[in-house]
Amino acid sequence: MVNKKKLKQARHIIVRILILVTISMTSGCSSDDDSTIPQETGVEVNHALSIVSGAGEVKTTFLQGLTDLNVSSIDNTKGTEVGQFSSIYSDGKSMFTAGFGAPATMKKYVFDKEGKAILDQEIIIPGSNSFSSLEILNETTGYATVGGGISKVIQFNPNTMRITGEINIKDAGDGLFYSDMIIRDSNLFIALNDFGGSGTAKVAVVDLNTNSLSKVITDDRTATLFNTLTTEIMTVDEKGDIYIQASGLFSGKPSGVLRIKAGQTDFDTEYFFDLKAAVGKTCFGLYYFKDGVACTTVSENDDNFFGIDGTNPVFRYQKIDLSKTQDMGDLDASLPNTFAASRTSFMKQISEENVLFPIAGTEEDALYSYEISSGKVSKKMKSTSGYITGLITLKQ
Amino acid sequence: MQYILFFITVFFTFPETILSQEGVISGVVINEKGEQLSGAHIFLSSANKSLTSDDSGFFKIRNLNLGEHQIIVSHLGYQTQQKTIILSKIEPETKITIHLIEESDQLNEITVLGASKATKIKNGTTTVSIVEASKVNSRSVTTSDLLSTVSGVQIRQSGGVGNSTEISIQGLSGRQVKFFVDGIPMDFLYPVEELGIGSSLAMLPVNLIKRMEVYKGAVPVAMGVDALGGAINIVTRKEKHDFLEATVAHSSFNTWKATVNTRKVLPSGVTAGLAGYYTYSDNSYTLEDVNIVNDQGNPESISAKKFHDAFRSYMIKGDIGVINKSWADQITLNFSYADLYDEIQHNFEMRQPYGEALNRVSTFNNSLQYQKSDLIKNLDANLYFGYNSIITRFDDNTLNIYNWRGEIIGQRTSGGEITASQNKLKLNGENVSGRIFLKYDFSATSRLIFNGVASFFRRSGEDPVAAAFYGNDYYQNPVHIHKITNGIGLEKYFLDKKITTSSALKLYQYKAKGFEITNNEINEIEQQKTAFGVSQSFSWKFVPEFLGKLSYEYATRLPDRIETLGDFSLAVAANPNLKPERSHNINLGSSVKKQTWNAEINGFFREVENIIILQAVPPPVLSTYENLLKTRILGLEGEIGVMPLPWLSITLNGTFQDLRNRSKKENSGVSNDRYFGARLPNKPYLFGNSEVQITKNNLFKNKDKMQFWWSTRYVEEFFRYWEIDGRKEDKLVIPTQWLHNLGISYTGKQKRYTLTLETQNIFNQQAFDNFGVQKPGRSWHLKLKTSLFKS
Repeated sequence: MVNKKKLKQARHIIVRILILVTISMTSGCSSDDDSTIPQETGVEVNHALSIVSGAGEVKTTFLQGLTDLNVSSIDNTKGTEVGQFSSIYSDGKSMFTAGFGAPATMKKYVFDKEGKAILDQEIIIPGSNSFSSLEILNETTGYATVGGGISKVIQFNPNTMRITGEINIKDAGDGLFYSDMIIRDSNLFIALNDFGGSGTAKVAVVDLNTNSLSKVITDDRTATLFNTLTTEIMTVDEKGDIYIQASGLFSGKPSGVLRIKAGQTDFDTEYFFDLKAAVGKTCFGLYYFKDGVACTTVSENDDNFFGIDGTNPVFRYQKIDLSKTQDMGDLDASLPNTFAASRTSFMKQISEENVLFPIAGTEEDALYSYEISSGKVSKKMKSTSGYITGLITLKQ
Repeated sequence: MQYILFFITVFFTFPETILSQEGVISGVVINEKGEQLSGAHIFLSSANKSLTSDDSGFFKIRNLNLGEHQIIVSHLGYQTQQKTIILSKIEPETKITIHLIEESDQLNEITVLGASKATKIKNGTTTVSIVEASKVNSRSVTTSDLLSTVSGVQIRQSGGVGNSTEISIQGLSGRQVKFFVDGIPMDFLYPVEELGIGSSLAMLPVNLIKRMEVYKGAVPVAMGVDALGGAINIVTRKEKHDFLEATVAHSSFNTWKATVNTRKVLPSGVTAGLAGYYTYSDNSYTLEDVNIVNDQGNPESISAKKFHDAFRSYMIKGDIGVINKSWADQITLNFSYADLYDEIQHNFEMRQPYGEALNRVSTFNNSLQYQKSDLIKNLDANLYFGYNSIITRFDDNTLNIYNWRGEIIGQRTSGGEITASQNKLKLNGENVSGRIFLKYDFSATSRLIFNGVASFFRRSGEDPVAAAFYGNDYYQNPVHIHKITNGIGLEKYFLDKKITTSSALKLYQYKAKGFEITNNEINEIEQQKTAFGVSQSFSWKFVPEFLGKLSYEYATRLPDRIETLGDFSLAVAANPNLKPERSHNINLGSSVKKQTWNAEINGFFREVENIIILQAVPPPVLSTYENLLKTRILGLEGEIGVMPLPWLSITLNGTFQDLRNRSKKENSGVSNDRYFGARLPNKPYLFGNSEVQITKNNLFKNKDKMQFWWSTRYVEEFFRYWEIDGRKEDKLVIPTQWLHNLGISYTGKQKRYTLTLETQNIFNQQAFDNFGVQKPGRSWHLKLKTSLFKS
């Protein structure tokens, strides 16, 4: 028994050495030729996507790399099972996942020569419940927040997957959930979610020069900066103005959009887009296209906002004009409803003209394309194995 | 449905074709000195009738079929006697005298009586397995361990002593399987709803149990709750003679267990009993490959001992009553107090360690039980009235963050280890319940059974810590539940009792009142539901050694309080629209019992719809239970027991169950029919047990006994997620387990003491029942049992 154990340990050591050697060799090659294709070559992986598959209460995320997006149908037969609901992110070279479940775990994946996603390294935040938001600035700097009463922003290096610093944001308040983040200039803006408790919208402003909390700005015209890991509620336009979408859930306040003007770190008191007044319903998410035009999702029935009734998706994609604070109607009237808050909602700009977004519906799960200049919507690919929760581009 | 109604109609109204003339057996029971013996137990196996002799030792059994009858007579302190009696048309009545010979070793008598009852149950129409606790109560096994040896039963535990446990019977599990203690629903008496079945079973040590009846498929009328496809009745020890038994056991991981059980029976028939147990375990077994995290956030895999998983429970219970009176076979006043302390070590997939969160429970049970055969002619009655109090506490109020070494590595700024609010929650549950069980033999071949169970439950609580977080102590709002279950059954016998049929109809009524929180406001909500279930079962004794069984049940499980009203402490919202879970259950089986071997095989089929599943969303948004998925279960289980030599016995059982999804997209939460027909994930489908036991009597001394056993448990690997998804070679699995246990025991003369040494998981294999959650490695157990009997 003892010998067997020693043998096992020895085998582990050898395997670890081989893995280390392989990793150092592959990372060496990568930096030498400065390739943007991750790690080993063979199957050229230019995109990656995540699909949540399963029925009943047993569902999980599958990750896979793609050479191109011009396929009419996708499934999960080549997907790597993650064992958690996970959102995906990219620094342009690798795929990163933030999984739901304690402790908060961020994983970095590389693709082998068969295009299979392989776990490379991970960062774990002990005591936390889950990652709340993640923003990768570049190949060496990223920021993340976690849930579970840990009031800090984690600064990390996506390349080495090491935590490089922490920013204490306890003074922003206790019992808060951290929603979307956005970096502009040398400030990190963090949407704070108290599930309507304060009746205000709150954003923490962090000075990245000093890595400290500068202030918390509030606005009582709307409330509840709620999002999920896959959903954005903060965006920045061509001028550098930041727009923040609030759902108003649990507060009695209307859904709305607030603005922080370029160069400023306070809410623009002269700007408020009352989405409830404009579209008559609760809105969720914010994705910027161009020239003031953006997109949100509109809940047709707040009783099923969180998708408890799995037969009736209630969200529709809606175009809005942020600069004119006007509703522009359905993104496309032919689009089916989607489970935006409970399953998936994101927009990924893959070219100057094209944005891809998912529909998680009762009849079909699919990825659709929106052409910015013409406003044309078309189905890009359907998923036969579940709903698509993330799409990243690895080669730009 | 028409077929079911047809069956019921037919068997409730079937003419008395067989009964032509009634037979009567009467007699007297005396000892070697010619003294008449009162309280002797008389069992007529052929008629499934039992009674006790009266104060003068006399007995009379009416309404018997003509033909051959086996009568078994037993009494405390005497050897059991068996006689064959033939009733004919010419001589339909007979009088007999039973001579009982004194027996110094009364444990044999207890075992024989237990076996008789077990045989009686086994010979019924229901598919049932009997676990005789008395046969293994010198071993260091838990109640869960014992259940796991039953074919068709799968136990999944998340750790050591007292940890969470899920029990499935022929593929159905969780709330679909119901538990009883002496026929009383277990959740009246133990914190099943609050802490799950694992902790509650830990409060029932094997040494206080007589046997466990595992009903698979059709659940008998006597079990008065809405089980969907199986029930387990734990029968506690109720000796009717003087005795004192004590056990003490010490095991690995600083585990201590002790029990004491005693009874005194006075000649006047007054009886008093006292029993208690104490269990403690650090559960400090070693975990392999758990992560600690360095300053850069990167994990390092280490081995570490569990540091916050202690479990402690004790109980004292007593009863006083009288037995063998003309107005009562038994009337007993029972009371018990139990206490439980349970540290919570980790989250459900063992990824995050906790260092301070814990559960505590106190239970107070008081009951009055009355039992009388022939209350009026041919009517047996069994009545129960109980008042029970269950107080549960949940503490989660530290800011400390722990690693797997038990070190504090940081602090949160808010929230607890498990909840966002922190908790110091105390819930007071009170339950008043009653049960009426009546059995009426309206002919020698027909018996009517009625079982009615009513309960009134109220719960309220307080949590000052959570109240500070939410701005309101929501737990103070009371929850009320009233449940009534009525069942009526008809048992009939044909062809000289070779064929038995049993028809049953059950009616469930449920009324609940609670509250939900919407936008920080408390709204009272109320629910009322009624449902029914029916069953029809048959057994056919082709020849004395061969028994066949067939049963069908249309079973219903009503949504329970948490599912329909929600529970704020569990972050579950109400769903008044939930439909009851329903299942069509069919069992077909047969058994052979020979002198040196026995075998049993059972096939089972379940078609379950409206399965209630928690649709989880991240807190603080409340999750909701929904009706999702239909399932079809097809399975086969078998058991073989061989005794090739008087000192050698071998048992082997195995179960294959194929659980398939039958939901199309409309009720499975997906957008296509992809999962229709797919095997359900995270469910074991192939498992079994074996045991080889060697027994040597008179080894060192006359009437001593040495036993050696080797038992194994096998579970084939199964997928954590749906088999049809993802790349096959790197899917997450719960690996194959094949665990081995060895034990040896020595029992001294007169069975006064037994010393047992046992090792479980002898090869120290990593064992998992749930994904990522490691069970204990090799453990050692030393147990001493000592028994004192009336001289």
